[in-house]
Amino acid sequence: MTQGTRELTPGPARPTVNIMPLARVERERRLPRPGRVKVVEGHEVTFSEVVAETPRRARLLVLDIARLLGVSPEQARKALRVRARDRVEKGDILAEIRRGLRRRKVTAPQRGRVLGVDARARLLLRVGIEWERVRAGLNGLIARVIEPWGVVVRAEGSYVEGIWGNGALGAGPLRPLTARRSSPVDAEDLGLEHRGVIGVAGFCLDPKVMERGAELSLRGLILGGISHDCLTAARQAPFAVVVTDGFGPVPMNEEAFRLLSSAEGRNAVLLAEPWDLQWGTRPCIMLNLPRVTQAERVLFGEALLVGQRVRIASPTQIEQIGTVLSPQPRWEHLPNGLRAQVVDVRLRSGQRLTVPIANIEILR
Amino acid sequence: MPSSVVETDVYLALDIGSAFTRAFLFDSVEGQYRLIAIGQALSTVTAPARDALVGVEQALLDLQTLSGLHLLGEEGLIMPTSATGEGVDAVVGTLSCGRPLRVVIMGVLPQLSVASARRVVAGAYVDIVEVFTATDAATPEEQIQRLMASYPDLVLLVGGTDKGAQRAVTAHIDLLLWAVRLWPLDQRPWILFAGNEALHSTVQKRLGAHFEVRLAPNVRPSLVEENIAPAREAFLEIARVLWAARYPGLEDIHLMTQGRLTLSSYSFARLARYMQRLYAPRGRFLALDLGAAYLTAVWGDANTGDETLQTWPWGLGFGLAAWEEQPAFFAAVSAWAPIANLNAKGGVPLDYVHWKRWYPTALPLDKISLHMEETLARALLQQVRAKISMLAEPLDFLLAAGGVLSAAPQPQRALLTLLDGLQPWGLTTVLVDYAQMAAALGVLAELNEYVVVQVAGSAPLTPLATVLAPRWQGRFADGEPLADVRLHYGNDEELQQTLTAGALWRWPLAPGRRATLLVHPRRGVDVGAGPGRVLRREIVGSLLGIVFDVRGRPWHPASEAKARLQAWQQFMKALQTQPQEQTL
Repeated sequence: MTQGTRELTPGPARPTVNIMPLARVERERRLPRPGRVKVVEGHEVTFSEVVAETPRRARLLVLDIARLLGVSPEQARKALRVRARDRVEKGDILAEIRRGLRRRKVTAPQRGRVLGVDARARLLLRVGIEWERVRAGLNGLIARVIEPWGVVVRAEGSYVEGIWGNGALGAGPLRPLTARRSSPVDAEDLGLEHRGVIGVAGFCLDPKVMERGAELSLRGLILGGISHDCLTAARQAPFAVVVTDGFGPVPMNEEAFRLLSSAEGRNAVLLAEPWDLQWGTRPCIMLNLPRVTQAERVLFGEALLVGQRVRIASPTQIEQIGTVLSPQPRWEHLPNGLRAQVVDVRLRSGQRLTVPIANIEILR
Repeated sequence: MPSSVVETDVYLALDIGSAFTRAFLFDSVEGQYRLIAIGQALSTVTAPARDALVGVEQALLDLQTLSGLHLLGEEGLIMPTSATGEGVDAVVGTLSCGRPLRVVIMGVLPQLSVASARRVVAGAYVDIVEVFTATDAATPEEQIQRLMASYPDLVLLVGGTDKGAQRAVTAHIDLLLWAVRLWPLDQRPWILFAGNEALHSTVQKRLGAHFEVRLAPNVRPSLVEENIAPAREAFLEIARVLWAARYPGLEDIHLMTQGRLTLSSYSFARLARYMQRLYAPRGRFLALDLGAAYLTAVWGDANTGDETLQTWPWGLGFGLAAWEEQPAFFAAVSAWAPIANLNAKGGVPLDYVHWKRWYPTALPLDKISLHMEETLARALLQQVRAKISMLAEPLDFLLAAGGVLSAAPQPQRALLTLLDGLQPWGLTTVLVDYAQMAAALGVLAELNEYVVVQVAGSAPLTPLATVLAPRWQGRFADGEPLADVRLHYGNDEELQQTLTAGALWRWPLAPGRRATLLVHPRRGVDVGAGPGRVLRREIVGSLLGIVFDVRGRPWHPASEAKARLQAWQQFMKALQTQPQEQTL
């Protein structure tokens, strides 16, 4: 007897980091809970357009009709003038009884909708809803509707993925803040000429940059690295912040910096939502281009192959980009004594390294 | 312990963690069950694969390569074993992957039914997001708002002894029925009712039309009785369905194990209890598993029968998200880090916390990264120490598992991490689960207890050390004598030394050997028998023998990173093993 029928998957799949001058992106925009989708397939959207929504919180009132009328629950239920799902305006009569010549009534304290009445004649009135909304995040068109969760937005253009985002969304013209990808940005680097732009810089160690950015109504900030000291300020910043490479004085990778700094003045969208490790979506920067035929599709992951360009994830060894030499992982001891499944990688410098597959991201 | 096996089946145990998936193969060797090989692969619950089965397949391929055994056929796992010895006879599985389930508890009294409900889900990977009791002073509006805002996966409804109170439970049923009006059908939680059994039909009738409802025997049949097990079984069944819906591949694994797929924390606790009976049958014990997403701890006192199982979402990886905006945790990391800079560019140790939080499965590539992993472990264990008041008492047995400890390049590193983070005192037998098979063995015990009994006595579960850590009141300057120690090896061989404050050193006692330790403490010094009282104890051999940690309790690291590194190097040197130890 055998158990399971799936084919074996040869070789490990690793996550990809997409940094592409011509990319076709299909980005799922998903609600945390089922809700309603507000757009249809083929619909063109701008990055800030709401594509789906679900109630986050309802403001409710419970009205004890029996107590308010001074009667039994059975009598109160008979006195109701509204039913579940009825919309009511402020002052509308909800329940009413006649006592001799007098009438007693309960009126709606606010505009709302009746959700129901329980056995004890308590009426539940919804007087407001706070919505949780998902925006398109990119300028593009709706490629697919995933009822009741959200949509897939398709966009084409230059595309850079990051590793950290502060949760905000922003758009504006790109403007380098540092001449080099390995230079830090300081609050003094930000002047009036940066009002309303998306700044691009090597890395940030100075929390005052966020404060200064807010004063200048910066639309966004793209950094190679960000230090622990800046993270709280970045989370609270009123503009989008995307970090491409690491934490600390980490320069921006060459490909991303070249792509972004060469696009000075072009409009970019920063979708700075946090990296979702479960679904694989990362914070990203998109520079829309008119429809292009050569655009390559953005992937979340693929199998390791010889010759693939990879980034080695390590906080101590900055900027490790290289090429895979061996596709089949093997068990080996690392220089620090740990045992891991590794492959060989040749760095740009020509140095050959043995790297655990757990630390490899495929660069596209 | 039985000397021969009753069954000689070949067992495969799968452990699906957040970072790694492991496959353990157990078979009989010369009449004793042994761990044959471990296959390992990166877990694939998250992107890009998002299918737990992929990781299992890769771990099995690795297991085949390492063991040279043929386990996988064209149609999957070969089961049972063929006449030519291919395949396995039974599969068990444990899992500790994925986000915790959101649980709301509705009960009558916080100290009774609600406390029991907490124990039903204790140790499971859950987040108790809201609790409603009969004494809740909130208005109905507030209660509905709280219930709606909690977005539960499961409501655990308890309360009322059998034939006892009904009103509070009925009020909670009403509350859930209110929520029905706001929850779309596909967003409604499961309901597990384990309260007054007289209300079973009412619950089914009133809630069954709107929710997936499961009924379990009352967790509090009377004021003095508690009955947790059936509700826990029902909870596990619901949890399995919810996880299977959330994580593709888990259902296949459940079928592969023929239903023997359980939570790693439960299995780990089961093995911990067994090991405690072996090493500290009449003492206090603590077992902890520091995973990538969760930290599980089970602790108790065999004298009183008290035992607690707790899982926190504090793993050394995905679990670091819990500390993202907790200055106290970052302060602890800064206080333990033995380096001032991560790299030549000047990155600081705190940057490492964020990096690890976003690269939870990445391994430390160099010595600095390895120091940082151990620093995070110390900081996390320090949080555990703050949660377990029992650690104020002498600890007799400590079992530890988790990558940073189990896979440490030298066992001394794991011991120092544990001693620094937890700071146990008294005379403690320390055991590290090097093969990370504790959870797998725990679930295997259901199938064949002989496997556990025999494997527990084998090399992968050899004790690491017996640690004597005194504590004292008043001031003893470094180098001042605290106690006289003697170790009788039983063949007229004896070692003697004076314990001095501030030191850390060891005497060898190889695995399999026994010796008698005699400690005469000075006045005010407590070695676990009481201040100034003599301690005499039979000691079993271990990898490092007897370690004397005389640094004091609590012990604080130096304020400068350089001094911390020097101290660590000095302690590591003191714990190094010597070649001649094989004879001792």
